[in-house]
Amino acid sequence: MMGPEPMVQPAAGVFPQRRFAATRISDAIADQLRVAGGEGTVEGVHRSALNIRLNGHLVTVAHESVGGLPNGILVDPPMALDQIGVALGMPVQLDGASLRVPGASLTILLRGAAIWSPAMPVVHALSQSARHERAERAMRLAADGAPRVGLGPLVVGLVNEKASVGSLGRAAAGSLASVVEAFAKGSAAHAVAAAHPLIGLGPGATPSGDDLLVGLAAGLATTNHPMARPFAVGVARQAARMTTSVAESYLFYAGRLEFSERVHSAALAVLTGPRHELRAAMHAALAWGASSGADLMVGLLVGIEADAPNLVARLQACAREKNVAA
Amino acid sequence: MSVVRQRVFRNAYRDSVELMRIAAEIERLPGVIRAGLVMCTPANLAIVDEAGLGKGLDPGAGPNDMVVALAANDEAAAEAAFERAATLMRGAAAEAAGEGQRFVPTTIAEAIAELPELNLALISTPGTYAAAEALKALKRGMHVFLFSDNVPVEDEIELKQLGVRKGLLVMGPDCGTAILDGVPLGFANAVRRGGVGLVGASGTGLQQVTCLLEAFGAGVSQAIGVGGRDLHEEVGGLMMLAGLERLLADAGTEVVVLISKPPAPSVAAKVLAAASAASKPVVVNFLGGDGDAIRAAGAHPATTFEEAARTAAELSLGAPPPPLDDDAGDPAAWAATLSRGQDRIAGLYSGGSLASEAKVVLKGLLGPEAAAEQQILDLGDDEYTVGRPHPMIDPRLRSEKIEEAGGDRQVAVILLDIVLGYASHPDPAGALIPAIRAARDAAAADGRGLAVIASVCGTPGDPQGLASQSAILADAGVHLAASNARAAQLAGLVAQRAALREVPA
Repeated sequence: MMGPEPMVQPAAGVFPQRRFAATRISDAIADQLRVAGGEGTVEGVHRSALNIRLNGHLVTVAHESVGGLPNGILVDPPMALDQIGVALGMPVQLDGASLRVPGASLTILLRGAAIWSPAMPVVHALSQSARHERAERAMRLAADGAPRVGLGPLVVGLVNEKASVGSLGRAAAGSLASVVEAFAKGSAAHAVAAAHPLIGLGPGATPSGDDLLVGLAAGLATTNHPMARPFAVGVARQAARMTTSVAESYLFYAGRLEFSERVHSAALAVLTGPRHELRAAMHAALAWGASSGADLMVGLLVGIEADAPNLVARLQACAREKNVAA
Repeated sequence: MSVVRQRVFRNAYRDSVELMRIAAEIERLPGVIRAGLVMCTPANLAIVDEAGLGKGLDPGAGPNDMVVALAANDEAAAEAAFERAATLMRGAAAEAAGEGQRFVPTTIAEAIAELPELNLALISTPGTYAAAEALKALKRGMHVFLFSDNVPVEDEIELKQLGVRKGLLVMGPDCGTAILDGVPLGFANAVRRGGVGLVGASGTGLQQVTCLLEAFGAGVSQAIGVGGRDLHEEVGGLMMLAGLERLLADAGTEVVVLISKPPAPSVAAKVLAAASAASKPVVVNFLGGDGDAIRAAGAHPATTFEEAARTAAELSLGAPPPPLDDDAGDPAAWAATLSRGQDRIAGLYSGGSLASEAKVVLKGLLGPEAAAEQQILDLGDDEYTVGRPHPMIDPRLRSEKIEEAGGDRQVAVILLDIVLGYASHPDPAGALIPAIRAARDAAAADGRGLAVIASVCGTPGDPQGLASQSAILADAGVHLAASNARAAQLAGLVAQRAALREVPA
């Protein structure tokens, strides 16, 4: 893997000339990036990521520490990405070898980057009971460190019937129970319809309901659940213009059963990782964003346990709770 | 007549914690009845509609836009709220400094490169990452103030052992407060400098003692928080011992105060052994701990935070401090207003150590069985803060609990702590008044009396102002005690008299 190129000396402009080498590129977008003559616009500027609308698709330039993204180009600059002069609305140019933001004197060299696959690995080796037991253990550990925002309280509520899951948790649990019921009946169409209220639901740049659905699709995909693809495709179709562009993009790739590296790591930690490392893995997963980690984990673990006999009842209990503390 | 208004911020992304924080602040503005901040997805807009805040919303708002939706008493209040929301969303740093190009380090290495003289890192990342950051700071020769919680105890031990080897302090994890060389860190109060140095495994305990030292006319040299687990068997009191050693070597410290819940026996022995060899007087408050063992070590035992502060002030000033300005109240008169069966205390605390102290005081006064029947809640505990900020920042949960207590026919006394200082709510007393009034009204409508007793943990120099916060409470008929221990004692006396008195059928 190539390291970043050093910055060159500042030019006589508003911003110094900066050239970074991409370290990894998702193979879901690699072909798109090889096309010369593409144009785009900066849609989001964050500390660890720049979101760029490129030929109609959202591409994310992210810091290597974020890990692989299905629509991602990873870089490893010695500074935060919101400190390099890139601003919302700046034009972006693609020439097949590099991505340039002329307004910020930024060039990202694409050649030489490793190609990373966002396709969800499938774990075949576990028995159903072992899979459920591992997911339950992960759920308990996740509940220990769940944040108090987003669907963090629902993680707690799924292992502690006395805990309040809050209004967002109740809404999500109700929809999720209906989705899982539809899986049991083998109806992807009903599952997609039941998932509809979750799209765009909740605060934040990636609403909690969307993160939950991405996690759910990942849990189904990694356990090779027969509903995985039809459900994920159906949700992705429904999500168009129903949520933020970043969340819509994640759901789009989930429809192709492609997920971020963090989701891969969490799923593999739950299903195949050493037991003594699971607590650390769950806490790492919960630390993504303000609530995205917890939102994803609820979906992922429910997806892994989708065929557990008591899951629907537990979700319904959370949806019905009367203790409205949050 | 109230108005419902919205303002849409195009292409504005904020994370959910920030949205909750801004919404909470907007809701506290005068004239604002309700407020919500969400991305304009159809699902979220349905919720906004359901909450009655959607009427008149710009139909052009899309999923990548954020809306501030609110109900306010009038247009002026709504406009002021939108302006405040816009300011908050622009960011506190830019608001304060009016600048956009200020250097903001993103790593410890960057910070040191910019300011090589740095010698302390305040770490407040999610617990999973906190140990790694603390390790980086220690390896670069920096003391660590670790505000983060959820740090595994194994990591705490490793960090503290490294700190000991390198002669550096590791304050935390889950360390709420410290005052180092006059600089407050975390939740801390504005106190004068002076000769009393403190080490505490107790956040609001340290705050209470430093505030009472101020009231007694004494001052603080250093206040070192060490985190609530430091005196557990596994950690071994590493930082309390290191802090004690530093204070004994500190020329500005004349008297040392050690504060903790009862330590593990082996750790207590180590700490007391160090105290017995100390060249300076040491006051020890191990809440509910063994006073004889402390005395045997040549230290001064204190059963409450007030006693610790008073003893330390006397040792530091060389004379008994003046009595605290306090009204002892009239428990018998309050008890006479209560109905049959109304003999319980609802202690609704924002400070965990203050709640623990109240339990110790009540146990001493009422005996273990009667004390166990009282409801003393630490509302900052995880059990009560799911989905909410800490009650020292966000008063809403406590307000709900106060109103609940007003409706409970068994509750005779509502017992409260009001914690002032940096990082606390800007008006903690004022925020609770509507709930206190509602609780009182509910009791009165039911023909019951209801005593509300509080102590304010703060100083005149605190941003909220001790006098103004006390006046707000007194105006609402809240009886103010000069310390938490006194408030708990008074509440216990009311409950005791209520339980003993004869009431007509």
